[in-house]
Amino acid sequence: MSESNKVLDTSAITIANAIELGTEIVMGIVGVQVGSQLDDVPMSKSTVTSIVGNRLHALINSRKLK
Amino acid sequence: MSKIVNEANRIANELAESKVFISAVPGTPLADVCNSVLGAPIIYNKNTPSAVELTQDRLDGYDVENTPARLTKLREYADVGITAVNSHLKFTRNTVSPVIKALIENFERVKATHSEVAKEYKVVTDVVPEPLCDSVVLEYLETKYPNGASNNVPKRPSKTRLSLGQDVTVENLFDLLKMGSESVDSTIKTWINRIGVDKAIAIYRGVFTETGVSTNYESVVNGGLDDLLILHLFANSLFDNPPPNTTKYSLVEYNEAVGDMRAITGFKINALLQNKETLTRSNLLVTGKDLNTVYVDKTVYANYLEQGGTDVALLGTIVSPKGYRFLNEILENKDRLADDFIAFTKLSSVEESLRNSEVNKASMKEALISTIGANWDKCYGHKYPGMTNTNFDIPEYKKQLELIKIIVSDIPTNAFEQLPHLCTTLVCDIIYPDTGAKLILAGIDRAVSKNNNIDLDQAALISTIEYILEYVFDQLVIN
Repeated sequence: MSESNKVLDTSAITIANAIELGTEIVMGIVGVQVGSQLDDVPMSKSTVTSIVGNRLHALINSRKLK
Repeated sequence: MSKIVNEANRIANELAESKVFISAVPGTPLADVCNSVLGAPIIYNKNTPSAVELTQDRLDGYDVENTPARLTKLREYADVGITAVNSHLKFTRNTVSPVIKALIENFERVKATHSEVAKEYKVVTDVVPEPLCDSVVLEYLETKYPNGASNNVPKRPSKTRLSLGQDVTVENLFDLLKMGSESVDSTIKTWINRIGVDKAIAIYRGVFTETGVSTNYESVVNGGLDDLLILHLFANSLFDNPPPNTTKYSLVEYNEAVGDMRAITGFKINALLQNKETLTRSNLLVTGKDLNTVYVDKTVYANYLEQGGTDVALLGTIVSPKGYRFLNEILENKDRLADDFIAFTKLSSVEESLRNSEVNKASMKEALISTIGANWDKCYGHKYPGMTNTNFDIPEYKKQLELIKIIVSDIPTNAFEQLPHLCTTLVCDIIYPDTGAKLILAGIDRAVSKNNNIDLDQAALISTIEYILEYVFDQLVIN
């Protein structure tokens, strides 16, 4: 694999791990709340993954120029 | 895992188009997890590939899903993150939030003690008490106290404050004001309800008990028709029906004191009524004024309005040095009086605004210090364990006081319009700058302001997710 491909792959894999780490923590903390207090807000792991991915992307975009 | 790979693939592609690449901050949990997949850290090369070169096959080639080392590390670090974030949430909820709530309450309490009652300018018409419009009452007064307008003034009571051993309450008030005629008593009730039962209770307590504070015999007999008539009715009722437990005075002493009060108030009521007619005939418009109220004769006032007079011009008599009181002179000068009043209120509002800002800042400083003192353990217990709130003579606390002075003096004037937000910022910046409380609470505020129908639990959930993402984001390097 070329060096340049590695850079892009590193980026994707870092983001993948960041999303997964974020998803695990969110599920660990709010999973109980979702099940008990917020029954009307269905939050599957897949939903949380989307939320975490989108918000992480937004955070990177908003701060990439700083 | 494929969902995460897809998300990551999409984001990495989009970022690569802007020549933005992501890696993990060395030494962080995220770097450790990534290294378990990627092996040695990557050396960056700015000659980046195009986004289209990244394919699902190549990502899958790392066998992300099935790397046991990565999964183990990820779960371990997620547990550490869960514990840390939970602890911050708990600290914010149980420690920081009560201090913010205490600061809001303390600020409002302190400010109330520093603020004067807001000035509200008004014109009040002299209204003759309803019972004095009743022919039965008028006849009674004219028959019993016929020399109201003469110099034959009844003598001052030898005792102007009695202690009758009987208090007045809302329940027995109207029994103590009765004249004995059903229709008159009903009129008395209507009148007292209009002017306020508190006023009648204050007069009774100020003259017939030792508990009254601000009202006394002198203030009543020098007051208006309402005050005089209330005292007259009390004295009239008490003269005929002495309280059963009044043993402090002999019957002669009691009858003389209460009888004299009844006589002098009856006389004064008659005198005021006759004088009032004379003054109305002479077109006296302004019958009295204080700092923010102009009292006017009802009949002359109606005439004044008919002839184009305004309330603003009447309020101008408060600030005018001319002392205008009669209808014609106020009508002749109404434009100038109105201009004077408007200029005065503009000046007052600038002064008021400046003064309000100073009062706000001084109150906030005092409220912060008192909140810290009363919540020492919550504020500094985590920083200085074992130290009590009786020992503020420590360098750290003195530094905090200096910080309070600087931060409070820089608060913008309009920040006090959003007090909860301001108190949250102050408490987090001054007392808890090294915690995640500000991020968590600001996230709740933001979620509430962005979503109209959201409840607090949902706002807290959104804020928690954002807080967790900050924790993850801090482990990323943007290249």
